[in-house]
Amino acid sequence: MARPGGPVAVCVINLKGGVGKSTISALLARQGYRDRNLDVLAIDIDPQANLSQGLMHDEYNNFLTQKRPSIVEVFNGYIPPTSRSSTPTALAPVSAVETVAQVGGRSLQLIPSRFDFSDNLLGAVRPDPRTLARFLSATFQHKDFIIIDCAPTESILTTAAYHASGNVLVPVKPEYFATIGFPLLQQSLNNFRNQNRGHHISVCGVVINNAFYDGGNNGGPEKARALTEIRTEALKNRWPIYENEILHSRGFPKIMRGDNSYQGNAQYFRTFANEFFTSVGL
Amino acid sequence: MTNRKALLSSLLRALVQEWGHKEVETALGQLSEWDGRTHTQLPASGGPEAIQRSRKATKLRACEQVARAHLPEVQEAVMLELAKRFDRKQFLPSVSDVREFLVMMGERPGAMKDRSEAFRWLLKSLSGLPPERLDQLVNSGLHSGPSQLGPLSDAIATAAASLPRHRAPSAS
Repeated sequence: MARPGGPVAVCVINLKGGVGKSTISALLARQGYRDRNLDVLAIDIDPQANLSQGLMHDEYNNFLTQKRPSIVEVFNGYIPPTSRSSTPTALAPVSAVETVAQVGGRSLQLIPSRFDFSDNLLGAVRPDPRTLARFLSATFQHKDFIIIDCAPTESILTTAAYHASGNVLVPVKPEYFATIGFPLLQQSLNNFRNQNRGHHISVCGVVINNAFYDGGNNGGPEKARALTEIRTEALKNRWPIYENEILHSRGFPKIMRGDNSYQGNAQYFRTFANEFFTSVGL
Repeated sequence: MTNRKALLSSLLRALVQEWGHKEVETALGQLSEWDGRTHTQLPASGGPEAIQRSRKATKLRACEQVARAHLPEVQEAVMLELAKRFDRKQFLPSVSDVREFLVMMGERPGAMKDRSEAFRWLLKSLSGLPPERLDQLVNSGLHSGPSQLGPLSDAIATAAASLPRHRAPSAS
């Protein structure tokens, strides 16, 4: 059953790369579906498509070779001519969605990305950043949770994610350069708010994605310095920081690859996930 | 040996006293059906070797389990296809994959020691799905185990080669 206020939509963003956006997006999508019994839609708007690969595994290869619709077609609004049809055809919204898991009336679905996404969109004469928001509002109001994995560089894709979201989740690694993306992100959000006065969007929190292997000193003085900087910058922007850090684990890359044999500290991801879902009202 | 037989006798006696001979016999019959083997004849020897033999006998391949499950015709064909893929380790290649799959199906599976045993859980869960959903599972690479980057790179290269080599005009 649909939530009275519609889905909770969150974009995962940091204008600095390598902070774990795609892994966190994939895991939150799975946890939301699996442990919170939510009807989930994950959206990959990063042309690197790591979220798509992390949720679809080998099926992503089939998706590519069979030229199935993706976020590219969502933005274009049609399916281009194929060997069977010499004219563009209408995009049925469900055709751009891949079902990862399904039970009863709810599912974990994904709008996958493709490597040619940014070329395709940014090469257009006047790309419309509201396309995704319109697409979601027309078709996916029954979902509980929509999570959007963003690219680390600011572009029209970032604006498209803002238009489609009410919340921003900011992953950060406690290391040198950690907060380099914070002022850029704050500026980007302020610009968006100024241009879209009726749109409420806020940072639901900063999550510390621990880059350090805890060899007994929990990262040592370098991590401590980076954490101080993160707290200072977050406070400046009035962004809350989640109490539960994501622990370093060799289990994360395995899960993203589709290997369920060993989770290690990745099993404690759920402590952050619980805090996150509570913070956004799920 | 005598102790084991005595233990079995005492357990059976307790069961018969509680539920009656007929009900225990019916339950044993049902167990036999489920396991796909006859329980009416107990092993002549109850020693470790016999137990080992008995355990081996219960490790039916997935295809055999499906064949003995007497599924509706529409489901049986597609379930057999899934079972074949399971036996070839192309579908849920490890016990932990089966567990994760079942959890994602909203179930809370108990302890599973091996894939053969795990397929019993799977069979129960999958037989509740409509044939279309089973078809999707047969044709999907979602549950084929850890993915490799090689085939992914090939798929990207193939897809890139088939893209039209043009760019839309710029705004200027």
